[in-house]
Amino acid sequence: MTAAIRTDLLRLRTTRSTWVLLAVGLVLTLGWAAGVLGNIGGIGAAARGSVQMRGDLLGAAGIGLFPVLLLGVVAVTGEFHHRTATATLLVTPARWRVLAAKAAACALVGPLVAVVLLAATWTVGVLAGAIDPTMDTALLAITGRSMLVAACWALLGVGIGAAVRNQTLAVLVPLVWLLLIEPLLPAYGLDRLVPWLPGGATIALSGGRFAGALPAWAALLLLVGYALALLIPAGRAIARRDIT
Amino acid sequence: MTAISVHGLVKRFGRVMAVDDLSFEVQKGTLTGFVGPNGAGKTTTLRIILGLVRPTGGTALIDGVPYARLDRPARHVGAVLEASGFHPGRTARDHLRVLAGPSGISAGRVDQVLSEVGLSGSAGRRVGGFSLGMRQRLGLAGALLGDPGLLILDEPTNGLDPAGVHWLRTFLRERVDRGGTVLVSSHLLAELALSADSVIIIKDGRLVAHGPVGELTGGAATVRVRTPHAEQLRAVLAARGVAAALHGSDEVTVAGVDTEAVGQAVAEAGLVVYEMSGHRPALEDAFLALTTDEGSRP
Repeated sequence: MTAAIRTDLLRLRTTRSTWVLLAVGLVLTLGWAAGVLGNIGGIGAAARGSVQMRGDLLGAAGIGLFPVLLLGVVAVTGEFHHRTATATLLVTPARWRVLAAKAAACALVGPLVAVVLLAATWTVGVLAGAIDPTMDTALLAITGRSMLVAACWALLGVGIGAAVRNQTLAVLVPLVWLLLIEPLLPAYGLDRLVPWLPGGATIALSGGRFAGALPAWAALLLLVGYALALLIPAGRAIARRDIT
Repeated sequence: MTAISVHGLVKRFGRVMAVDDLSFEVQKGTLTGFVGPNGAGKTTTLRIILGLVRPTGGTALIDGVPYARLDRPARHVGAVLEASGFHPGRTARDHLRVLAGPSGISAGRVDQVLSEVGLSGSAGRRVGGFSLGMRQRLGLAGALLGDPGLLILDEPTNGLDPAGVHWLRTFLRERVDRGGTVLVSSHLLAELALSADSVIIIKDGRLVAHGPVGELTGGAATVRVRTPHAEQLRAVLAARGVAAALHGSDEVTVAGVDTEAVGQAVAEAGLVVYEMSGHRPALEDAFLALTTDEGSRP
């Protein structure tokens, strides 16, 4: 299994889309961070050097984690899109193992990306004089939560990719869900659902507070649950599928 | 020793019967051609053998076990299938490294197979820019990674130029001569007739014929003789109970005998001969005769 995971890490490393997605994540994060920095002194903005400011600024990494989800999606759909599934399954006929290795590799890469995004934001914040360059446990907690979110999103991505398989559709589904469907729920009086949905659970796991938010541990379990609920049936379907 | 054994194989895609009660065996150390018209079920059969497609019924075994139960299958079987793709952004070497990983195959072996198929110079190039012929070679390189005893190739000559086809034929022949086994599908027969030990012909998912190339083409050779004594030769052969046909004033064709028998008759009658040649029916003709519908068979 370690050989399979190592192979999938190599697969990710040698694919351009991986680096493109990471670049997109970095641009999104730094763009968001620039917005936070530009708002210093504005209404409701945290004070320069405050813990609140650090939290707001590092929160920018959250938006940059969306590409991590897409990384997981493309890891699976790419095999069908480029018809590489044939060669992959010839070498590893146990299909569940192929899927598990992809999930594991993406769940390893995701947290790494989170650390890179946080480090980039933190550096920019320090250079801009907006945050103090002190290391404390709160900073570690932010990092840890971010890494967990990234791992969950990578798994969700692999799950969506395996369930949908069509690359374009599998990229659109999470975009529409997170940007359109979940934000619109309160408008239909369905606020009570939000904590139990992937977007709401992500905010709770990140440390965000809102009415009815689950505790972080419950949010983590919920997100992993969603990923498994996608992965297991999709894995079974792929195992039965004819690869033509 | 059988390398591949297919027994009572059935595959239905919806209402289409792609493979219909197909059984055959491929012996170790042979180069076997797997031929049939387009849509005969060749690719489906190969994909079932390789565990990519689930049969509706029957079994397909490699070295006595289903493909999925082979330990590190790349070390037993190498396959090049049609419509198997490459990630266009990956280099040839990286493509092979990804395939080598799960079987614990070294990076050195990757460079070795690249040179074996003549792609060393393009190892660092992205596959997206490869020609069809180069992709075929890269596919073959992938199949060779585990140095498997059995190679299964689906239409490997597609996209190869004549020099490439010649190279592939020599390459496969050498592997078989060193004890390897090759099953190669093709709808082009001329190139197979030159190299295959045995041919499996299928049509509409059913076995039509299976045997050595010589046996399939049969003993029905014809002999063509050009002689100024055409009519005389025909009479001489007729006296020996051999039917011959006249073509123009100086040509005779004889079916069902070899050149030795005709030469003997010519010498005994003391006839002058300008030219004599024996024609074995091509595998192509045998194939056409076997796979054309009964009604249109000549």
